[in-house]
Amino acid sequence: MTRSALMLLAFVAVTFTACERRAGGGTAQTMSVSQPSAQQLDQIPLGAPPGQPVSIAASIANPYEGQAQAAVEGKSLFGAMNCVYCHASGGGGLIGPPLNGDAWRYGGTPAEIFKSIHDGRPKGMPAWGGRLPSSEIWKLVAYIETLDNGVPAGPSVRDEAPPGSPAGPLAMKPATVDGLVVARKSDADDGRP
Amino acid sequence: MTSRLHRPALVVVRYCTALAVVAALAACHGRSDPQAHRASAVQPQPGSTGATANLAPNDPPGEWRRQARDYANTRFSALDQVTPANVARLKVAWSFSDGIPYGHEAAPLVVGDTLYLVTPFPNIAYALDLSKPGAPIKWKYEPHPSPIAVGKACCDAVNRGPTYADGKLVYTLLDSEAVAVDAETGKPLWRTRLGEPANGMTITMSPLVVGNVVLVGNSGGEMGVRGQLVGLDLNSGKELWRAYSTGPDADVKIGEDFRAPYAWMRGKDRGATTWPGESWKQGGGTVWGWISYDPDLDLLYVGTSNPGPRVPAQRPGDNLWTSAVFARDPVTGSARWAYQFTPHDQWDYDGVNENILIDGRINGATRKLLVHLDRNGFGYTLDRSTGEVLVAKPFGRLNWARGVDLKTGRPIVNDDKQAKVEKEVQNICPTHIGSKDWEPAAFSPRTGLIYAGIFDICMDLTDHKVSYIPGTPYDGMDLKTHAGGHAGKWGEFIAWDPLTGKTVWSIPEDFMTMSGALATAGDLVFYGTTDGWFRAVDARNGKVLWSQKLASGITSQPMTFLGPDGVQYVAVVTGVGGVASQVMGKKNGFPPRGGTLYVFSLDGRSSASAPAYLKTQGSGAPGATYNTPD
Ligand code: HEC
Repeated sequence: MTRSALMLLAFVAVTFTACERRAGGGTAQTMSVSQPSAQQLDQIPLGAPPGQPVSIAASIANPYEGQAQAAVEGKSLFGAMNCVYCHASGGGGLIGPPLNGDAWRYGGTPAEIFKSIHDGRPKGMPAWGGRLPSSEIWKLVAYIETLDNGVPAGPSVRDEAPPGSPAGPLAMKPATVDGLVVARKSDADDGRP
Repeated sequence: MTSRLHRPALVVVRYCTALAVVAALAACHGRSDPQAHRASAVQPQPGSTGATANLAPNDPPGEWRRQARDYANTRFSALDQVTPANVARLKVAWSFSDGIPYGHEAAPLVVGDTLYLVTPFPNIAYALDLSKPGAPIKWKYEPHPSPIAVGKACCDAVNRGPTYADGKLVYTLLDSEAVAVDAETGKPLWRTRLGEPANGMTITMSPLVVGNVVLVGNSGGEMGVRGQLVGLDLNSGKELWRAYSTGPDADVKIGEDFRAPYAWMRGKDRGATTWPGESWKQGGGTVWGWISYDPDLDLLYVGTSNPGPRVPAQRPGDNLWTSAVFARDPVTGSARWAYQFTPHDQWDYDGVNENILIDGRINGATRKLLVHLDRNGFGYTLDRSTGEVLVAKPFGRLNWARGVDLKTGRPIVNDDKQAKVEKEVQNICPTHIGSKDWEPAAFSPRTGLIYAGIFDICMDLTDHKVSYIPGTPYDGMDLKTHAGGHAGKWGEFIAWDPLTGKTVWSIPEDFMTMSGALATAGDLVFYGTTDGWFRAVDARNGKVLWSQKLASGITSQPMTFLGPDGVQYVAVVTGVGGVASQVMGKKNGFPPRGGTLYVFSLDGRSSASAPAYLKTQGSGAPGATYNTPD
């Protein structure tokens, strides 16, 4: 690594930390938001219990909802944090799974995507909680929410799902069987987890 | 090397059976010496280039104990029951599916009456009993490597196969471990961790065992992992030595007896001084390819990967010793010479491809040679005692360089094709995975030719500066690939004359050809295609004599063995994946994944299909009668 790259990274981290302190969780001056509490996020279970509406994840909105600038900043973080080299440009999927479809391993509500990024996931998804302030993680979520793989959403599972369920059973795909991942719907993923 | 499973008497009998069809071998009765037969089977034939190879350690001809079969990495078998005259009769004898969707890149091994397979992640080892009908599972070993490694491996959760030594099956696990398993029972004997997958290190390569030393390298160059080759004790798994590919001489194991063949590589600590600051610490040069060994010179040969990050603008300098080959002492690991194929690599041209050790006449003198078809598109023939470049000619489409200057050993880089930050450079050939990747070539001492599956792919490349964040890609290359030629053919299978550096014949393929090659004393060469054809070709003229379509694409390595019944079998594993799926997975007609071992024989003959071998027969009379519970 070059020294300048290291410095860039350190600078980015410091800037974020500073911003977070200054704005109390929000970053840029234009965007002041109040984020869900850590406690709230801790209550999100991994997957939905059988026969029950999906967890409280659905009730937690992205604090940057409706702020286009957040998604723009999220996109540049997606490059700067090297997400793009694992998930491909536009989140099409490469080493990591696609982020542009409606099939999710760990849930596709904003809060679940937040947790995937913040906590990391077992098959090689790094945890960013210690590296990025949560405001920046929410911006990454905002960017990911804009991604689209061009495949029309199927006959709406949402409509048939129990009330309170954000996206129905497909959102909670229990993906692993004996350490392997069942192929995803998106053709961008050629079977590799 | 001694082996508990090795039974010399049986081997002689089997070998005679193998050669019974050869008229010249009327002497095959009684106690004839198998070495003598082998010698005749491996002599240069009329039309040969005259190049030969030392086939040490001279394993029993019916067996296949390591991925490359011999130390010289020829992938040549002295079996010759299957010939150009009868190869059209090859049929599936039996098959075995492992149910794993990742790319399959390994060859099975055969030792005694047992066939060994190691799967991609989760790296399960199977022993199949060839002496029983249908080759049932004798044992299965599940090491349960950490799944974190799956999301760190750049190019799919592949494994390039086990090696057999001294009654042990030795192989690597994706999460950066090496294991040894008792070949008879499947009981683990030792397990050694070599690195931390959370920081991006994985292992996919096949170890080589030389004497008591297990040689293991690493992967993860795309995540800024520092390349290393480790020597482990075969009996305990304990680390004996570790040699890095970058950094000060002490780390690289460069000492007094090291001689670089060219002036620009000489001097103190070149593995550190050819980098800005301490960036060699994240400099790649991983050791994920093949290892060969010359027992006479007592040197091992192994290549190193491209440098990290993949963006050259961030690492001015030659970036030694990445994209290079090392000659090392296997007992101490110390380097004797090294040669860098691609100084300051800008295109992802790893130097890890196999180094095939042959002897042949160049410029009027017989030399000990090393043949290496590099990702960068040049086919190199070096003097393996010194590292001096004797031949360097393109074997694939390339435009990044105008040639290799044989006086200095340096490529003459084409300014137009140098990578640029935030600016697209169009049509660089070959693309990032090169004119040929890890898929190993074969050498036949009968024709003196090298046989290789290669690619014809070019790229449009834009670089972006990138930060080092442990456990994430240290990458920065943004590229689009396209077929190099106008006919839209992405692959080729070629015969290469290593003494002159010329392609002798070539078979164009629609998809990139990413299977290893197998050469036999029957003058056949076998290879597979990414779209699932398994082919046999006349080694002398490239005529395709037989093709069989299989369930998935072939990105593994064919091999051949003699069954306990004295029949020659040819085996290959399907299961497309790896880089082939990344580069071509969206092309129309690209096959789905799925790992299956196919075993072929003449007329499909085997103990798995003949009715006489069936344990269960219908009796013709009703068996038990079944009633409802009430
Ligand atoms: C080293 C490669 C790598 C990097 C870098 C990486 N990811 Fe991932 N990511 C993965 C893998 C692999 C998974 C799947 C993990 C699993 O299934 O356990 C994943 C999973 C995810 C998921 C959950 C997807 C689902 O289907 O539920 C999200 C969201 C995600 N990553 C976002 C990101 C973001 C944002 C970044 C950058 C801050 C990032 N990733 C960086 C490899 C990576």
